[in-house]
Amino acid sequence: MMELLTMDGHGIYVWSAYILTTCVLLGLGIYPFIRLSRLKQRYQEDNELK
Amino acid sequence: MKFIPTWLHRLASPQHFFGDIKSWIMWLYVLGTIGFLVGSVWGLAFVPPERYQGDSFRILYVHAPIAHVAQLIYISIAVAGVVHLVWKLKMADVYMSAAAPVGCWLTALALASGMIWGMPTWGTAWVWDARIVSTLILLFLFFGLIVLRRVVPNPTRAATALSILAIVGAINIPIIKYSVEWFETLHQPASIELFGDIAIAPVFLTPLFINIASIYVLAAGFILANMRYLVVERNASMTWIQGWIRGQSQ
Repeated sequence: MMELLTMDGHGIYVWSAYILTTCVLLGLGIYPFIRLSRLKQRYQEDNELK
Repeated sequence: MKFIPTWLHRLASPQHFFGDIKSWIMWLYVLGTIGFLVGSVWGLAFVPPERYQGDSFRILYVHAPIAHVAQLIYISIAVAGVVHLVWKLKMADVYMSAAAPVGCWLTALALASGMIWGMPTWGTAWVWDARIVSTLILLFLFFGLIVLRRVVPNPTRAATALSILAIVGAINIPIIKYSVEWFETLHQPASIELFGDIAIAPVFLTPLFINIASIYVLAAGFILANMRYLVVERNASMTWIQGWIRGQSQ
C-alpha cells in the first residue's frame, strides 16, 4: 500500500495530477446541474412576483 | 438535408433536445465515470513502472486523454461554427457556447498535469516549448470564445463572431499536433498515430485507451448538460419551458 502511495518518490506528482483531474471532472459534471437548478428557482420566483 | 438521421434532426429542435437529452446525460456520466475509474486504477496499480520514467509516467493516463479530447472539442466547435454560418442552426450556436468552457477547463488541466509531469521528468514545470506554447494558445482561444459570447450584446452577431474565431483558430490544432516534429522540443513525439505505428508497449496501452474513451464520453455528457442549461436560458418565454418551471415536465 505504501509503495502505491509513494511510487518511489513520484507519488506526490502522480497523485496530485490524478486528484486535480478528478476535481476538475467533478466540477464540470456537477456545475451545469447546480446552474440549472438556480435558474429554475429564479424563474419560479419571477413567476410568483408577476 | 435528407442524409441526417431522424433522431439527430429531432435533437436540432431545442424543445425536443430539452426533453430527450436528460437520460442521455445520465448514461454518459455513469459510463464515463466507470470507465475513468477502471482505466485509472488499472494505470495506477496494475501496470509496471516505465523503464526510463519510473512511476511518473502514470500521469500519461490522465494527461494524454485530457489533452487529446480538449483539441477534439476545439475542432468540433469550429465545425459547429461552419454549420452555424452555413445553415444558421440555433443548436450549433448553443453547442459552441456549451463546449467552450469544457474545452477551456480540459486544456487548463492538460497544461497543469503536463507541468506536474515535467517536474520529475524534465526537472522543470515549464519551458517555452512549441507544443506547450501552442497548447497555451489553445487555452487563450477557448477564453476568447467564452469572453466573446459575453461581450457582444447582440446574440446573432455574437454567434457569428464566435463561429469566425473558432474557424480561424482551428489553424492552431495542426500546429499543436506537428509542433513536436517541426520544432526542437522537450516534449516527446506522438506515440500513437491513427494510421501509423504505436510506439507504446501493449502492456501500457489498455488503460490508456479506456481513459481516452472515458474522457470522450464524460466530455460529451458535460457539453450536453451545459447545452441543456443554455436551452432553458435562451427559451425562457416558451410554453414548454414555462411548463418545466411549474413542474409539469422533467
